[in-house]
Amino acid sequence: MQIEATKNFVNDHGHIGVVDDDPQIRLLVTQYLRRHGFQVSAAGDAKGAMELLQATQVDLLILDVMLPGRSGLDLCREIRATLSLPVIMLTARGDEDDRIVGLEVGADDYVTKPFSPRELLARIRAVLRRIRGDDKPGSIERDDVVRFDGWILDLRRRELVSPSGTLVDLSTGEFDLLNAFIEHPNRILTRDALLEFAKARSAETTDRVIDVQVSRLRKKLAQESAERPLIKTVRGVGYMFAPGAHGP
Amino acid sequence: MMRLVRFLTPDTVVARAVTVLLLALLVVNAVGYMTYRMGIDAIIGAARERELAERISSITKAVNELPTASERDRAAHALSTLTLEVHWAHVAPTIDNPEPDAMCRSLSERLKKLLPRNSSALIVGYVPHSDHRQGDGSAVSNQISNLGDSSYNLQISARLDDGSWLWFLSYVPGTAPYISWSALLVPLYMCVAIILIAVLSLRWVTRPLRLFADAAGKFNIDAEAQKVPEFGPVELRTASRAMNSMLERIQLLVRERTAALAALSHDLRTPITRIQLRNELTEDDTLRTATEADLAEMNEMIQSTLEYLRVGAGNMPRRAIDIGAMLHTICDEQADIGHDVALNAPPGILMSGSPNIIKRALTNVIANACKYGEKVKVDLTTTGGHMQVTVRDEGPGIPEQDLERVFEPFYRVESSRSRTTGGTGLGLTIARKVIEGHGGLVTLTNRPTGGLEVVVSMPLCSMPVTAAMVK
Repeated sequence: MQIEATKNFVNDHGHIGVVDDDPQIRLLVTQYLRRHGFQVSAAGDAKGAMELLQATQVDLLILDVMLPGRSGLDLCREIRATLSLPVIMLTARGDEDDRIVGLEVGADDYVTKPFSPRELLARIRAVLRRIRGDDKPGSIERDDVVRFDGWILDLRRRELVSPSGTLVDLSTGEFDLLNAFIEHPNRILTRDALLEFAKARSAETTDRVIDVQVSRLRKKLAQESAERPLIKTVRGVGYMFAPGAHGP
Repeated sequence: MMRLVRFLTPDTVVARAVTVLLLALLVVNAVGYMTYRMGIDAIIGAARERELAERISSITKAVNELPTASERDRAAHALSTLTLEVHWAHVAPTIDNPEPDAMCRSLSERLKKLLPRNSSALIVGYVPHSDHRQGDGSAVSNQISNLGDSSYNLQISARLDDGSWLWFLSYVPGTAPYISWSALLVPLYMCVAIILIAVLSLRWVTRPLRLFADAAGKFNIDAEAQKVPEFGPVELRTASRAMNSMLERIQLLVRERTAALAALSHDLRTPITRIQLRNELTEDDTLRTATEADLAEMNEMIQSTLEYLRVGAGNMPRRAIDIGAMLHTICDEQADIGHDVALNAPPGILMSGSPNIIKRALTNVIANACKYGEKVKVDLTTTGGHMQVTVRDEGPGIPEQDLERVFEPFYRVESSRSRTTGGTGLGLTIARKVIEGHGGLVTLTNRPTGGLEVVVSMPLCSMPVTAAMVK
């Protein structure tokens, strides 16, 4: 492990804090992330986490919801109040409440347990990229909901609501794609750029998949915005999201 | 016809009680009426006999005092009345069977007391009607019926002092079968009153019973403690208490089991995560991929077990859902992993429901078809207030005897057990629980052309589309 860790430029990737009460998982995540070029510090509970945050400067914190003593949610809320530090929560799989509460207390993303390490890595990279690429450095505040042409995209619940108030189901890929479009309105996004966004969640995304997903997303948006397509094709380059007057 | 039979066959407590009461009323009235008639007839018979005996004795005494035969004959005719014909004759009548019954004997006894001088020469018997000579008295056995029987007349003969005879022929007026319709009014009135009172009071009496049955029927294992109301008569209160304690025990048992299963599923996540992380360190690609597949399967089992336990536990918030969009997501997902699935869903079909669990239910049905069948066709249609999702495949179908069982938790059709992708046997169970929880229905049928057809039907969205959301 050490050899691999040194092989990468550790500081280039960032410093990750891992807070999980299970020592095995802590160790394994630490090893895995080190292997992928991160510097990692770990803690077993909320107290240890606070000590860790005071002792070192971490770029991102991975926080388990279920911690002995003080819960991860509590800790997340406190971190949110005092530091501008991105947090990825580890939640119980499919437990909607955990997920939503986690996002509500200010987590930037979540990974459900049991998780695959590759998925965790993809999320870490996505969050770090978002923070670093942000026009307003230091600010990771984002609106909970984004409105465009009467549509509402709820980023916390990962839900799309149509102008008529109907919930329109999106796949994970479609949601991420739409989110990427919304973050870059009226700008041409190449397939490669979109691929990067999509990769945040599912590792095996290809060029063609982007085209398929854009077409699926269009079909869903067309149900209530048929007169004017929101996503335009820029021949030979990529796509452009062009919301109307109600855009963000 | 069946309706009439069912109507006439008492099935409710009220109907049965009213029937019993009416039958009792009928029997009591009939017996009472008969006893009354018998008593009346006996009194009338005795009075008539006494009167007859006295008239016969006085006529006999009077005629006996007359000196000449012609005077006697005249007097006899003069003393005749409508009901008693009197003749004077030199000879005695011939009667084969004197004093055939109790009435004749009793009349004879009475006459003997009234006419001590003629006591040795009294003949009492019956002669046929309009034939004064003789009758077959043996045919008449019943005193009461004789009174009303007009085919025989009572004939009494008494010998006078000079050896001549007086013949009396009594025309007994038939006691006409006397039915007073007004007498029926009372029992009729009682019947109506009984029906009215019984129906009202018994409905009142059985009301706690109905509420008891209602409460027991509404019992939902997943919901919070519910109680059968403890009121009404003592017997019912006892039954309600027993029922409540039973419901409590059932809920406790189910809750314990559920908690155990949930805890187990929850706790498995940590070791699975560990294996997943450790697996990532494995250099051997084949081994890593195989382990990954196993872990995915385990995840799936835990996931569906937890979902099964969670579905129905408490109300989830309902929203307006675009079913077409949801079906697109589900079918695209199946197509992406290599299944042949075609979706035909018109836009704008909305239903009100809990999005996550509705999606889970539809995913389970469609994924099932993709897994066990091939060339899956999914159609979304609307029929009379319901939206209908029809999922057809060209697979082997399900043996008829298993069609209902596949909805049972953890049940798997035999052929799928051996497969590595056997699943947990919870998919359709969850689907049905969700769909029925949304007021819908799910049916499975084997298609005549082969393959399975699953029809999911749920009520369409009833809430008006809010235009306010647009601006």
